[in-house]
Amino acid sequence: MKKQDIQDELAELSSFLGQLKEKGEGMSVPPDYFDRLNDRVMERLEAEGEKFAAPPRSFWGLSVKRTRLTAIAAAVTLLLAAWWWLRPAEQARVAIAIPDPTVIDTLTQEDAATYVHENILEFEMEMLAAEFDNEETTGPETTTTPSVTKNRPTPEELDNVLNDLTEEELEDLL
Amino acid sequence: MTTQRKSAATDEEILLLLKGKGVERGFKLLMEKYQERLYWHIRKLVTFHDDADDVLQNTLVKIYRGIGQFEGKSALFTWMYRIATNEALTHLQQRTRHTAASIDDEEGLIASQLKADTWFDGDDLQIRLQTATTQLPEKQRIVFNLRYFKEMPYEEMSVLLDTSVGALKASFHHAVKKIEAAFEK
Repeated sequence: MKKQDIQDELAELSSFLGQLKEKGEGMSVPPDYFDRLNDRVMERLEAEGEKFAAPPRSFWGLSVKRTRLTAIAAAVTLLLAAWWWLRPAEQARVAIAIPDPTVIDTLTQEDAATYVHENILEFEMEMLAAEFDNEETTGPETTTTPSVTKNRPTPEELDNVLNDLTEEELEDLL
Repeated sequence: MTTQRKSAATDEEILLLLKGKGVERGFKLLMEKYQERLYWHIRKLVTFHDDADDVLQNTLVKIYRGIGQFEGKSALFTWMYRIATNEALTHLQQRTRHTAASIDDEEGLIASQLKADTWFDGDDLQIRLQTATTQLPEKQRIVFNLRYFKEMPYEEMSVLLDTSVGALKASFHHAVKKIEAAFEK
């Protein structure tokens, strides 16, 4: 059908060219040319820097590989930030837990009490609780006697003591 | 002409591979399917095998690099055909610049090159036909090749070259008359 169309058209335009067409084009290609072409083109692309493992640049915007790299970079940044954030707290904890013995020797009891009072927030709750428990089980070393802690005064006895105090003694207490 | 060795894969399957993780496989399938058709289209435009080989390789490299921009507005082969045509025309323009100054000299040069070409086994009439087509203006040369050698319907050619059927018929008519005149010289 297609061939008949062109033959009719040529018969109308140029019968000479119509006849010449029957002879063919006279062109040929080397044997195995098309079998080897595939490899030659692939070699050329690789030689020109094409990487076949990944899709060419502008294919689908962000590639999976790129997303993975971004996730890894974000994770590393987070880890570094976490380490940086926790680092000073760790140093403070160490400083409280292991005080320099030479400094402790030079401190008076009053200095130590003042320091604790001023820096009470710096101490960990666990540490204070442990100290409190220790105090309860072993008892205070200096001030109160077991008889005082065990035999607490009754409200009547306290009233009697308050009544016996002078105004000056009360002011001193308050 | 050698036997056609075409890939059985569809254009959709090839494009899916090319735009996914099977770039190498997809491109090999594309070449297997279309390399011969592209080669003969180019060969009829540039005449010589060595030139056709260069142009075809350039075309395939451009297809590989440009496949990401293929939007599917036309058929895959139409898109590749346009790339091949442009590459062939660029090659012809470069060849014209480097060959003899006058048309007679150029015709004589092409005829002698064809006689010496291992991959052209035509007789004198076929040599004269090839020589005459090389003297046609670009558009007429493309239309003549597609119509005369490939017997492509005008409607298909119209889509490919983005030209009206009437204009294509006129181009073919002028081309035939010029070639006939060349034989009468």
